[in-house]
Amino acid sequence: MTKIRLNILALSVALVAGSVSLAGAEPLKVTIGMPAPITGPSANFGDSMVKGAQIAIDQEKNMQVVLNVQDDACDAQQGVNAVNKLITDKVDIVIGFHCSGAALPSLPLLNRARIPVIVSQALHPSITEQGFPGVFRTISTTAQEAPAAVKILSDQWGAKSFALIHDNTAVQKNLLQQKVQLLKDKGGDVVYQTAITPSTTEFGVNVAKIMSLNPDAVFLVLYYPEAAQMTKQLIAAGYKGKILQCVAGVDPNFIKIAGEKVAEQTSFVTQPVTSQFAAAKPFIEAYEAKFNERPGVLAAYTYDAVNVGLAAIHTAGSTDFDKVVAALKAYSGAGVTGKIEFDAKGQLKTGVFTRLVVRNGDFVEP
Amino acid sequence: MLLQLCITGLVLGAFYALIAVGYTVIYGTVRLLNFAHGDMYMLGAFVGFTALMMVPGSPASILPIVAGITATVVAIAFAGFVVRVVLERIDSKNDVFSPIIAAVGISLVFQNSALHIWGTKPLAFPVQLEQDFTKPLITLAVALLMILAVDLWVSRSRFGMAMRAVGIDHNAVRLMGIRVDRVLYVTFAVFSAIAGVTGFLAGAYYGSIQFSMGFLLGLKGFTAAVLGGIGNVRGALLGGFLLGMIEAFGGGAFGTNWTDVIVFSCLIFVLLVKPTGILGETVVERM
Repeated sequence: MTKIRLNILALSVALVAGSVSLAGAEPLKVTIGMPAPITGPSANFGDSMVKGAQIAIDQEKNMQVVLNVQDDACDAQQGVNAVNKLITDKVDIVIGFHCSGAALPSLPLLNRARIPVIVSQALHPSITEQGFPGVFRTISTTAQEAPAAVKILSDQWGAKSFALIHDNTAVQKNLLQQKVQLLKDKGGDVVYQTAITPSTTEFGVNVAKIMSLNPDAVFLVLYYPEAAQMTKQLIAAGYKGKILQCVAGVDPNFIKIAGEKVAEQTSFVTQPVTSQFAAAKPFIEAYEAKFNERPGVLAAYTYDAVNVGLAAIHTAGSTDFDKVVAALKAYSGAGVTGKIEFDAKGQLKTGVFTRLVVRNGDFVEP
Repeated sequence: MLLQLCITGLVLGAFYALIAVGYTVIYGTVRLLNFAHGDMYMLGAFVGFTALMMVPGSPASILPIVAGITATVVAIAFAGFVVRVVLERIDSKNDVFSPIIAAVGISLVFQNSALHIWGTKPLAFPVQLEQDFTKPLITLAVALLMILAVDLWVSRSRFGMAMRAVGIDHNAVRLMGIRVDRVLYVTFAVFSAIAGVTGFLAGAYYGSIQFSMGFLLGLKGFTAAVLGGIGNVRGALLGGFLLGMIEAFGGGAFGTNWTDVIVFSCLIFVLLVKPTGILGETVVERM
């Protein structure tokens, strides 16, 4: 009997609480669509993107936010499928994309559907070069990365001859072409340039070529599974020159596959990673408390992108495309990754790159 | 550079030959292209990984390695047996294409199951061969010993004779009192286990394993089997090493982005000139 009474009491309290909240202003409901690689070799990037976004959503007080995640598998076809699903689900804003290969064919669809987009991790310059009014990006592009890489290779290391290896993906190829030009402009000689097949592990042929041409530096524009294998095989063959990896090599699994000893003999040119931002400390703590793991290297960029998107919708007071885009264009604020402002094309105004090395199993500044 | 290319070609060839042997013997006995064979290689690597991680003590000592290889042999032999049981049911419908398509389906089931069980990230294999000249030597020695043993078993033993006889005429063999189904179960189990051990070896050689590792290797192993002459163990050995060398020197000469173009062009060329492969014999139609 007592139990029934208690239940009735609880029900009444709930009803009163409900009517109170109904009497106040209804919070704006926002659905964020997130295309992210949930499967495939970049799945761990996707996982930390989603978790980074979740932290930003947990901290949002003014709006009721729902996250709709679709797997783009870092693949053009799957990316289009993922985005079509988000359009059908009528999401209010799309935030995400880790791979340019998935983002590039998807953006025209989102533009046609008049859904604002904030790309948080994909780096291909074309993403913000296509002139879509609703596309923004909160991370530096490979166009901003190429000069940073060349600065390390030519100016810091004084290398004159280079080997460049990529995996034929859209972003890597683009990055490579820019670098070849910049290296040549500096009087450098690219003695070996080739592509490898992703998901393979045998690089003896490339190693043999590099050993015979003996360039001063090798630049590996590869994702971490292949980058780690190639680095390991190069060092085992006795290569003594410098080895530089691009941002796609920055992953804790690089160290696991290559081994700490090998990983410590190479450098990485990359956007600063999550752990390097002093302002990201509360984010890192919240992430570790919620998921009991360290955030991924780029998770802070997605966290910032979600915060910027929600701030723009809050300023706009609605999810109307034109109003949100206007708010994003006018946005100026401090994210945990630095100052966030967009240029006329929607690209983050200031790009920052840095060189990282591996020490004690972690990516740190040298 | 020539030496390095030769070593690369030989190591690649050893892996291709070990997979090609399975393709070729299974084809020789059942007249079936078992496209799930490459996945036995992948599963072998993952089962070995799991066993190495489960046995207490440092994975790189004798007991965990023996336990890892034993677990791989047992588990993958069983997986091969299961594949045969499934294909047998489909085989009996007397249709050429159904078992091949079913094998492709089984391959995808294995691959995606591995993806869900062990995840998408490449895993660092707990046992790794030393990074010196012994690494390719050990790999080559293991591969050659395994293929030699297979060749002797198929050509000299009573069971090998039964396997070859089954390959020629199921019904005649059955009338001689030989249990055809038992011969085929053992064939699938043994050659799947060999592919599994090859996966374990690849894990120790390269130091990382991934759910997709069996796909391209399976395709190249099949290519090696066809190149050497499908149905012939020595042909698989020859095809494997030939393919490895073509890949190494082709990639060295034209760039690694052209490797697959060169490899598969060679396959097409051989099939145009000698459709039975280099050491292949013309298959006599069964009645």
